[in-house]
Amino acid sequence: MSSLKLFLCLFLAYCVNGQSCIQPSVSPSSYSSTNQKLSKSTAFVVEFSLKCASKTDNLQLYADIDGVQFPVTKSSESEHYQVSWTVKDKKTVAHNFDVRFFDEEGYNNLRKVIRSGQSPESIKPLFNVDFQHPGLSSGFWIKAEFLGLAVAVLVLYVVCRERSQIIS
Amino acid sequence: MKLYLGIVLLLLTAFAKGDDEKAKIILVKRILNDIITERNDLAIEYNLYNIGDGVATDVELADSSFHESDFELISGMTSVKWSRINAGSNVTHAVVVQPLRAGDFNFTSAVVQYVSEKGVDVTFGYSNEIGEQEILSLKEYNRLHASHMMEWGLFALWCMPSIDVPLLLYYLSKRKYSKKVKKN
Repeated sequence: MSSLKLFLCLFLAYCVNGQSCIQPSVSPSSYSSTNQKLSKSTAFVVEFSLKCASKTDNLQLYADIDGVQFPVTKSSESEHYQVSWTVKDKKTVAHNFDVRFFDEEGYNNLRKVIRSGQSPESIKPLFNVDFQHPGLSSGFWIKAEFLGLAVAVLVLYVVCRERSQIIS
Repeated sequence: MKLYLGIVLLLLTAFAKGDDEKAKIILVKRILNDIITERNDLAIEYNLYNIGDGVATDVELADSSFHESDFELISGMTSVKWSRINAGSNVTHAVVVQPLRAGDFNFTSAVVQYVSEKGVDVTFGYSNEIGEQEILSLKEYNRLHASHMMEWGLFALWCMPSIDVPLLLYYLSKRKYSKKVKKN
């Protein structure tokens, strides 16, 4: 009898904590900072609103970005989620991110797979979001001062050549 | 008998340790930008570290520094929650805003609230205060950091008469005299 009670308790705990999203419909938006003059660090933000066919009051999501896992933040008011990460003091190059999202069960499976040394790609995510980071750049590739100097040197060269031709 | 006593002692220590398992969250607020300017993106990073022994549940982070009269929210949310942050782990949150006005601005602290252990009231915590920072005006930012291609282009245009007119006169006379030399 006591084992039955324990089983029921465990089952209830699973129902409360291990919620899953069935047929997720996602509308994502993403942001990454690109101006190197303003900041040497890059901030990445992926936001999305999620609608599930099942009831998901207590849904905890996790994101897997290039093999690193992050817990997903939820808005205090709505069904709006966000995952954000930063790369500090390093120039980030253009990169296409495939952000894979997992629920609690999927995340646990993912951790097991990573621990056992297998490929994390084998675990199917709940859904994924693709976004393109154009890379951290400081605008035009050549400084205007150098361009001005180059033109001035060119003019000086032409003039000097003509002068030397006249003298000779 | 000794074995039983040992087990009882072990259980007691386990329970005693269980009572002490309290979460403690440290919130660090940081500006990622090197330069803060009007009408340009400003990224704020929040790091939450759970330095306690227990799991922090119902963690809520709120930052009311960015009022819509002074800032436009570009990306991210200023009021968010995590259902749990495990002991010894940390989470990162970022918000991107655009300052609408130039001048000095006081970046105040963000607030975190969480349940440090089951059956205990909500614990409140504050982040560090960044303090007063200067927001450069767009005009000043462009003067200091823009590429100035337009200005250099105009400078080249204004230089053209003083360089091109003597060059043209020189070429005309050169062509004239080189023809005469050929005739001779």
